[in-house]
Amino acid sequence: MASVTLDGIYKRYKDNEVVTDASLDIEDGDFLVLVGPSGCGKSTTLRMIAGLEEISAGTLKIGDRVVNDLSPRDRDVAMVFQSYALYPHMSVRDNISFGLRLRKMDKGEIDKRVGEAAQILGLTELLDRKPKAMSGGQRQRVAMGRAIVRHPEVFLFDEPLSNLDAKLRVQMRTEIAKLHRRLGTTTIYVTHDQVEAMTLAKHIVVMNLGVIQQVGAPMDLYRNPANTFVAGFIGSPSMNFLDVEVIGGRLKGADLDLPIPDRFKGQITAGQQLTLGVRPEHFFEATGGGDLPMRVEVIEPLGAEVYVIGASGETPITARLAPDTEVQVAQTIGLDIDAEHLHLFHRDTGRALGREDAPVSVVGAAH
Amino acid sequence: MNQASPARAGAPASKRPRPRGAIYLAVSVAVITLAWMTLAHFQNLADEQQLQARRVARVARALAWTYEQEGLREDDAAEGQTQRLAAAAVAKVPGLERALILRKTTFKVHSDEALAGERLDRESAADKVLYDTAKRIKSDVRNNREEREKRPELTRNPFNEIDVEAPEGGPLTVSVPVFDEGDFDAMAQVVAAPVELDGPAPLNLLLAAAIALILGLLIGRLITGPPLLLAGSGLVLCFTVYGVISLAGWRSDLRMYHAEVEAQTFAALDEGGLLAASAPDQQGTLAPMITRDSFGEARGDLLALGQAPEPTDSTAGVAVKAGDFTLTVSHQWLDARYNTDLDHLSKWAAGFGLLGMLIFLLGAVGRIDRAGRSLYTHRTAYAYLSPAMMGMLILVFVPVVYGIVLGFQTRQYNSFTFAGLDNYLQILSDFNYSDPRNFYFKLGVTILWTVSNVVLHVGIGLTLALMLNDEMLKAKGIFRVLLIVPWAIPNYITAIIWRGMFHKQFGAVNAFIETMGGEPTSWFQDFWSAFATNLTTNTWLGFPFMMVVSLGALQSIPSDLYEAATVDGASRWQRFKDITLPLLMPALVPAVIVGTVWTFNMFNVIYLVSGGAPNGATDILITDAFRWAFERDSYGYAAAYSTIIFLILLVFTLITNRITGATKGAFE
Repeated sequence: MASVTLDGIYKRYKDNEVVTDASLDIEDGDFLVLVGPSGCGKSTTLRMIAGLEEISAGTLKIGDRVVNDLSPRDRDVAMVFQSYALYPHMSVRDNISFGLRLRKMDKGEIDKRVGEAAQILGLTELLDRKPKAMSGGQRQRVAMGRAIVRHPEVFLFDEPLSNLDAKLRVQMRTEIAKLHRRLGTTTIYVTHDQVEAMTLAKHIVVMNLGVIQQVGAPMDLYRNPANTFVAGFIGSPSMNFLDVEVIGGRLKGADLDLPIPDRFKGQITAGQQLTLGVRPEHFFEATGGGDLPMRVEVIEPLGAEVYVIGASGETPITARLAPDTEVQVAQTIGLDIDAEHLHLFHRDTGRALGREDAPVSVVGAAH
Repeated sequence: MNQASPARAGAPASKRPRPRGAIYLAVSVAVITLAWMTLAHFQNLADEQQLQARRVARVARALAWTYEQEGLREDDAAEGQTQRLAAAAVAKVPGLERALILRKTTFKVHSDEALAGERLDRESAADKVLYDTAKRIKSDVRNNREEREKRPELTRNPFNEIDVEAPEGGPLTVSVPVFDEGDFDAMAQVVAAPVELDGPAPLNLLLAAAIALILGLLIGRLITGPPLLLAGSGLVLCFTVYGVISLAGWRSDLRMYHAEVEAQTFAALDEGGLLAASAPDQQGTLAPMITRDSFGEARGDLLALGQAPEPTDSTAGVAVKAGDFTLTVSHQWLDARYNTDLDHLSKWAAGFGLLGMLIFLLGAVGRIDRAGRSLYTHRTAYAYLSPAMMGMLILVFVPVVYGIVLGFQTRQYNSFTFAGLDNYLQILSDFNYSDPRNFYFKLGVTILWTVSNVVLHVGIGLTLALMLNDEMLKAKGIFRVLLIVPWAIPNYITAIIWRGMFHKQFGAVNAFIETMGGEPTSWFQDFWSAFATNLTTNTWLGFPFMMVVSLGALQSIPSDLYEAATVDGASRWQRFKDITLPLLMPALVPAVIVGTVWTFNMFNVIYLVSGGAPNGATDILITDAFRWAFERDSYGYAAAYSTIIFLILLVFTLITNRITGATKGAFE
């Protein structure tokens, strides 16, 4: 087990910069999830850590070693691929033990490790099968078994669950979490699914267009997004964004007129163009007119909660309401906003107020 | 059938599937076909035997007559006498169309290649056998004299007759009794029209079969289940018994017939005064001549002639009145003389009957029923398949079957006779491997040829494919096209070009050697250099296929497997050995099997480049099979050769397929 340090890592293909100045300190035993929309450079970053892609600039350290120029076999990392990349001509046992056999490990030790891994993953009965005779979930386990027998310093997961159906994905997610708790190995996990990221990660790295947007614990990212990209990406359904202007000490929008919460006072100047961010769960159905009128277009009752989708003026709004709401489609309702939980961003850069060091949020790149 | 319909519809896989008309149809057709084939074979055999017998009788009569009329003088003044005699015999003896009389004195063979007074025409198919025989005897006599050896010039069969081959369709020649043990041999050859055999025709059998079929179908309509089973089995049984009885009847008819022919023959010989010549005791007993068996032992009880009393035990032989004699010929002797296969045939017929019943029972258990039902259920599919199947049948199956059948025959002068396993035995039992024409020599050369080619094809093809698959390589498309060119050019053109390049005087290869200061080589004079020319040409032709197959397979290997292996710690060589090679195998093994078969049968290159030089040594099995058929005129032998080649390749493919699981995919 080891820490992993990325210091100013770049990846360029000819004129195309895929990863820009990525710096991360990943602690020993961390579970770090790289999340972002497709093409954001998260997989490339992972592949650079694995040694499958060359690093164009910057320093990569595993433990205390700079591994920039080491081949994958010398980095002591193990990787689980999205396609599982199982060797089709080998049995499960041979697939799992392949890396150990290449290292000329003692046969008894190999058997012991394979046995352990199979035990952990529930593969003991399947060791002599070929991958083609297995289900997706079982293949996934074999791919993980291949990684864990190596006892590597770092586990790398490249979207390991995206080829599974929804139910299996939830189940495997739990198993990966359990596995990490049991082994404690430093893990770097790439996904585009923010639910996976939130549930698994100790720390999340949100990336967009090759740039790290924010690093932090899942709830930290949820509560204090550094810019509108992170705000929109983390949390489901996404945060609602409304254009507001600071006029007379109040936030004024098209149908909106709110007092400025105390915590933002001092950061705001009159006439400032801002974006107001409100998560769906921070709307409440108003008894009177409320803070914001909303025309209801779709109602999604989920049992414990009801999502009401519609628009306020031209701005699309999603609100989570209590299950006993009697809202009807085509009705216009009033919504109250939980002033404690509203977010304010600079409209031009997308940065959150007070987070002026954060990267500029590129609008429209969110999923 | 009617009341059974709903049950059948409801339970397609019921415990006791009911046999149907379709089963009965299949069984009947199968048994009738087999039985008909048996009878047809018997008919041929009988015709041939009868023909042979009649010819013997006619020739004997002709000879007897010529002796009586003219006598034969053993001196040089007999010039032209053979022609005269032959002509006279043809004129006198009914049924005799041509005759050649050879006579050999101590010094000379008189035959003059003449036939019935005319010169024999070597180009005429009808005369060729006679001409060749005459030539052969002449040259044998000459060789004997030169080498001062006493080899038999004319071989004799166990009945002390000169054996002459008797193919059907061409000029017919027969074995003729030898009348004089001295230095005179006479042989007559006849061309005669085939004789119709009277007897139960196969048509009768077909009629019986048709009745059995109709009855069976009717019963099938009325009854289902075990009663039908019994009825069907009974019918098949009756049918079999009918066949066996018919054959037994024919057998006795044929014996009578042969006995009669024998009697006529001896009557004719007696008429010509020839019996006296070989019967020392003047009592009309011909014992010394006829009864010599294959071991040279006298068997006086086989034939009694003349004053001998009629046999009391009529089952032991057949008595026939011929001229002044009553000839008694024993069954044993007749069967030995005419080699009757009727016993076997009866057994075959009984065997077919048994087989028919087995098939029927099997059908009752449901196998054929199911096949028939599937045929009916999927009739649209089968209808769509039928044009393709017809094509396959005509273009593939018929030639293959014809070739296999041909292997059991010998062919001469446009006619085929059944030879059993003779061709195969001849090919396989000759262990003189140092002879380039020997099968085992050829097999060795062919295996050497195949192995060296396939190793080179795969080695070069795979290497090039790996190079072309390298991401760093520029202008990949151009290289790929260039490397496929040898494959795209028709291989006989390539072969001819390479042959030219290996020409001793004008060839590019020798020209190159000379410019490098070397000595020009006669490539086709030594086995190894000639073999090398073939190998070079075929390697040039063969590697692109392996390259294309390997390249396709390489490109289908997902790159993440290599990445996974890299992360697992595999070096470049380990990735090739543990990932690339095993995943190439599913594509490469069938290609190697196909390539092996192609190379094993690579006719063009061998025939066109070295042409077997030197002295047929570089010929492989397939080119030699061709030479047997079209250069040495032995179609049956060549067909047997081809069948052996086919069997070798079939066994090879089955074994390799079993071992490698080549037809299974790696990605399934």
